[in-house]
Amino acid sequence: MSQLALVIDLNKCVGCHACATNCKAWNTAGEFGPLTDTEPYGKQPEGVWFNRVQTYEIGKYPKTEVINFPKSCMHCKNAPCVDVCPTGASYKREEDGIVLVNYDDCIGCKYCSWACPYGCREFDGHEGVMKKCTLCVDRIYNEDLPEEERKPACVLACPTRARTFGDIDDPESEASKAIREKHGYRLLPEAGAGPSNHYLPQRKVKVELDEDEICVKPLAILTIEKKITSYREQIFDDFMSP
Amino acid sequence: MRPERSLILLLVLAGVGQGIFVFLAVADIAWGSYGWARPEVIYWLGVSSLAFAFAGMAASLFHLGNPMRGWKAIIRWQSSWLSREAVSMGLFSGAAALYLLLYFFSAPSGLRTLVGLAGIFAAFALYISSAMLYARISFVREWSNKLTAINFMAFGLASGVAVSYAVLCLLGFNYTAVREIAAVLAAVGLILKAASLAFNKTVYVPLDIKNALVMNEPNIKLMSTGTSYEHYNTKEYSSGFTDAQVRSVLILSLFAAFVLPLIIWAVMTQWPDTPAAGILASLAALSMIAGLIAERGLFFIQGNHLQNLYYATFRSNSASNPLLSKAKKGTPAPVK
Repeated sequence: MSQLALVIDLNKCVGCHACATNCKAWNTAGEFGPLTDTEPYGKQPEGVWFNRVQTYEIGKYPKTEVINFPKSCMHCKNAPCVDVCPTGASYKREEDGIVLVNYDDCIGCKYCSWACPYGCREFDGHEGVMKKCTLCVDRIYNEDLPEEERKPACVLACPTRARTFGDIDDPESEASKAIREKHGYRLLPEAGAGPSNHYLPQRKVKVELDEDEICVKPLAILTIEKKITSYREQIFDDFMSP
Repeated sequence: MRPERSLILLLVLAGVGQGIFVFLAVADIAWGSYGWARPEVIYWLGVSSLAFAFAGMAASLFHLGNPMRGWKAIIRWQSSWLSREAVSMGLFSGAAALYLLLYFFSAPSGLRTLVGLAGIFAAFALYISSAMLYARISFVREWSNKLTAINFMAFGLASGVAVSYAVLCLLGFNYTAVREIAAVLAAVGLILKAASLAFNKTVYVPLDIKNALVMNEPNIKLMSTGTSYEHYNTKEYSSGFTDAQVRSVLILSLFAAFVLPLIIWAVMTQWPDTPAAGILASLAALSMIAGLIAERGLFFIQGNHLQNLYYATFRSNSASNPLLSKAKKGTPAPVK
């Protein structure tokens, strides 16, 4: 048994929405058919997205910070959406733990989306079926793609490499190591769904120095500074000389 | 949650249909040997039961994204309550139709009683599976309690008997016993509704946005809902009604569903040989159905979905923390 999942580093996420945009681009053009939009160029565009980046402000002005919070299907181990599906259209793959919807069997009753504590399923009103993150199952096993591109679209798009993809049941995988070493956690464990996606916390890096440590500049730093200054001067001279 | 019109109609109308059939089958078993009903009574009660059940089923199809595939809902009856609801809906309407056919082909009464009992069983299975569908979602505390199933049954039976009484009065059989049964069921319904409202007041989910994001920050404010301002997650899980609106609809629904029918039946008790019995009883039944439609709408509106934590629309009812409210009244909170 393996369980593929995403590990999202909130410390690195800059909220650029590249993951969501690339997800939409791939999955609209991919094997699962379009993610339909209503009024895409109108006043209130709406549409199906597998991945949404929400933004939160923490603290009080002027001491505020921004948290960018991407959220997509957690591919839960004990997925409540699969249990409640009346047709068996929602299922969890045994081989890799991905939760998928068979669009040909879905009757569009929306019951699975009610059973999901995370709100990670979105109803496509045009096709009348429930849609959700497929963990790019049509990419990760796709032999037409070069091997380094056999990853979910969101992971490939992330410019800060905040997203890691891997088997969280394999202790040697990159994802498992990230969870272990960077204090990965799950969302709402209280709901009992056993989500597989993990988040790495936003860290506040602080260095504590005593006063005597601050006033003395180490010799190494002084040497480096001197070198940099002389290097700058050299470049300047080269540039200015005829 | 958003009050879904088609589901409200399904739950209320099918509930009425089941209630009528339960009344018909039980009355036929209990009073059959006294010749309580002429054939047209059985006919009209049976037809109205089926009509209500089919109206509910038809309404439910409007909820589906793909109504043509609706039949597939019966596949996963081992695990899904929605599937069980579909199966018991089929069994119930089949049993009700068969019951009516057996009556008209003058089948032996033992066989009819057997089909009647099967129909009663299917009707209760349908009440329970409709309710468990909601009660199964454990994190919506307003739904996942025993009163959900009990109320679905009580309201369905009360409205079924109210409509049966109206049908009887329209046909000229103003039976006092049926009116009394209807009144008792309506009173029980009112008490159960009050109990459910009292329970909802005590619902306390000790979660807020800090738990949702797993961040212990005192002030977390939602700045962006992600990609578009409104989408499925912001619309499906919140009703958009204000507390004041909910309160006024609640009062109206309680009045229409329980109080007004009780008043009408009380008037009819004082005026036993009224020529307007059919109209009065129909008014009571219609008022009850209208009130129950509003009540079922409120059932959806009051459901507080956990995903609302991420959209800052979760009603974290921290004032109803049982430990804190006890402490306020003077009794010390338990200390470990």
